[in-house]
Amino acid sequence: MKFNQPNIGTSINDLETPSLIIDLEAMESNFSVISETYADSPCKMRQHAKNIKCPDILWRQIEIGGTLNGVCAAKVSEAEVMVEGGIRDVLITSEVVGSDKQKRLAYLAKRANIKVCIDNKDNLTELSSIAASIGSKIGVLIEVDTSMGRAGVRTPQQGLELAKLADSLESVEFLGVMSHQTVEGFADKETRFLEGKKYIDMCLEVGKTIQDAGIEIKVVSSGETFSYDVAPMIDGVTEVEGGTYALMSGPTAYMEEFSLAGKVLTTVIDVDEAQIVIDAGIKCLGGPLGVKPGIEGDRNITFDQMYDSYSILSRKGKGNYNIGDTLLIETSQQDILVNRWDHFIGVRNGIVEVIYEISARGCHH
Amino acid sequence: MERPVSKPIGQHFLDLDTPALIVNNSRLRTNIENTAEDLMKIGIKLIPNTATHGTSGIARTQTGYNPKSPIFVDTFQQAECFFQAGFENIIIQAPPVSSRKIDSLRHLQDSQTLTLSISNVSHLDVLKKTHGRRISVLLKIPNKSDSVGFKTHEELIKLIENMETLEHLRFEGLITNANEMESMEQACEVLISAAKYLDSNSISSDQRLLNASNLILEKEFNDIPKGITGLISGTYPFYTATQNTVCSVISTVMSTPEPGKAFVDCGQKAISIDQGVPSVINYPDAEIEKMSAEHGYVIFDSSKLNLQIGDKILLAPASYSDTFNLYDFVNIIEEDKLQSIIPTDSRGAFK
Repeated sequence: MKFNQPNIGTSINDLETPSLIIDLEAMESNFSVISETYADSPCKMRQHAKNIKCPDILWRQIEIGGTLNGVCAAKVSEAEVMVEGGIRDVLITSEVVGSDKQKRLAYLAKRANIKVCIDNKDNLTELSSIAASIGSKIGVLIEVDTSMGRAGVRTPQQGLELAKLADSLESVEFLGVMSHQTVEGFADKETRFLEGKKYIDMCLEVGKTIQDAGIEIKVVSSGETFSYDVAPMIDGVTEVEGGTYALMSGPTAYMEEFSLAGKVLTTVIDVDEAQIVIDAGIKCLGGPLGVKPGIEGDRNITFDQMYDSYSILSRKGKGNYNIGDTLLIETSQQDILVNRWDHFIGVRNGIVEVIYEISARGCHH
Repeated sequence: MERPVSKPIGQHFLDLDTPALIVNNSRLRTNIENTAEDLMKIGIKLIPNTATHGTSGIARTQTGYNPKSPIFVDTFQQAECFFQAGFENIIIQAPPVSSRKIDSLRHLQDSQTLTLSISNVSHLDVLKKTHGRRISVLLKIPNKSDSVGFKTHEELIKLIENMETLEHLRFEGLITNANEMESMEQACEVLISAAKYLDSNSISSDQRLLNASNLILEKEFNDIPKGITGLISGTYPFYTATQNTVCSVISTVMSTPEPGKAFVDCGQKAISIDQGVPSVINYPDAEIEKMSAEHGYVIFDSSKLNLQIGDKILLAPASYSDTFNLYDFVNIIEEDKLQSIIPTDSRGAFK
């Protein structure tokens, strides 16, 4: 069901809650960090659409700079939304399995520059065969598992065998290699550099093995928000798949050059001396396995219990809170939160400036 | 919104584009009928918490297609969705903190009954400003598992007396939440004790409602003490004690990078893990190790099982409510075939 959205020019104090807010100044500042970092580098940012799910916002980063004018998408349906939003270069960072989805992918490749990850010969052959039947050509990158233990080839030799097959097929274009990685906990800059370089080097090693066998590597797509400044310093990396940096979230707050731009506005619906009840719960915030959000500006309030539509917060200090007061929630895991909402309310200096539709919300397929 | 590759009615459910949320129709109906009968036997009215699934299609089955039968929702926007879908008797859990919330029920008709639950005297101050339509009011009683509500009996009396001076408000009764099974007995005790106190002061509470979604079994219903008039529950249509699940998410294996490991296309964006990772229904030797935003990590004993790319796995969510909230559509299945596709009308109705 479609609900009314606030008028442009509305004060943040008059918004119905809960609402998903973007602090536009903070987001643009984050985009400028990327623009400056990649300005003089041959390596560019390929922003991940899975975190934002909104072509208009992804376009803002492209306009501000530092990107290769393309994005990543996690799923085929998400890539379709990006293409419909005018973005013509999309890398799907997962394998695409099943003839339904492969057909859809092949048709999308007729409309835009589409690339996809592979890690299996049968899957690659099916993809090529479907693309051939439709008359399109799909770019492919070999996924290399560097640290996450999920999809991807495990050895350079596996990568080479897959590259040889890709290179021999008519309806796919072998482009190179890609990898995902993550760093646990609050990492200082030195750790980020060491960990980031270690993982990216594993991806590059697979690329080098392929190149040494005479197959050209045009693309090395690696690095994420935590290694956004490491990757462009490493020879051979052509693009970085950052997403979290756009809005940021609690667990990545250690990267102080980026600001928290995505927050949920909530209202106090009940209060007593020990606790505060707010109108935002699991359904709008997410709270996977105990990772709880925080409240902006008051560390004495902590999430105690989260229910579907409300949460109970414990309060230690003597802060003066009343029913009807609004609070801003600092999110704990941004992309699963964004996926629950239909709109971002873009706010600057406390005034609603723009409402963005999260048009790829729910694009699981 | 969701953009699956559409499949025709009659298609085998395993051919649906994944991830897909499915509900087995006959098992759902059986659960709904059995639960209503079990509660009727002990004289307790079942009030479906339709916020759990957010679909008017399932809610109609729960209410026996009687628009006047009460349903319970969490938010004002959810109420708006269900009023629009033809339900005429809705209880809203969220307290009113601004008259705008009540004004937001644009489609509310005079024939429709609105009941609000309040937990603080300030909520009554808001209700005082909402002239023009009758509102029934439930007063929330705190207990060990949910400490929100009116803590003393004297507060209740004062509030009800205050309410009686207002023509458009009607004191309907008392409500308490029992979020865990362990707290159910104590929750009932405090509710009944409050009702008795009111009674001794010549105030009758028509409704004494226990909101306890985890209460789903007949033997548990028998533990509900006399004096409780209604049970609010959302989980019971989906309850399963066997492998014959009522509600699950179908997912496809998309990578098998190592023996004993499979990577599937359902992650936290397509199934809730807020109350734990889902269980794998159709492969007892496999389990979900963890889930990222987009994908699930399946581990299994490769000497017993050989999962291949393209294989379908069925996942039982640990939280139905949050999982339904991630989908725009529910695929209704009968005898392993797609019977209908129904919208989750109130998905995303957070306000």
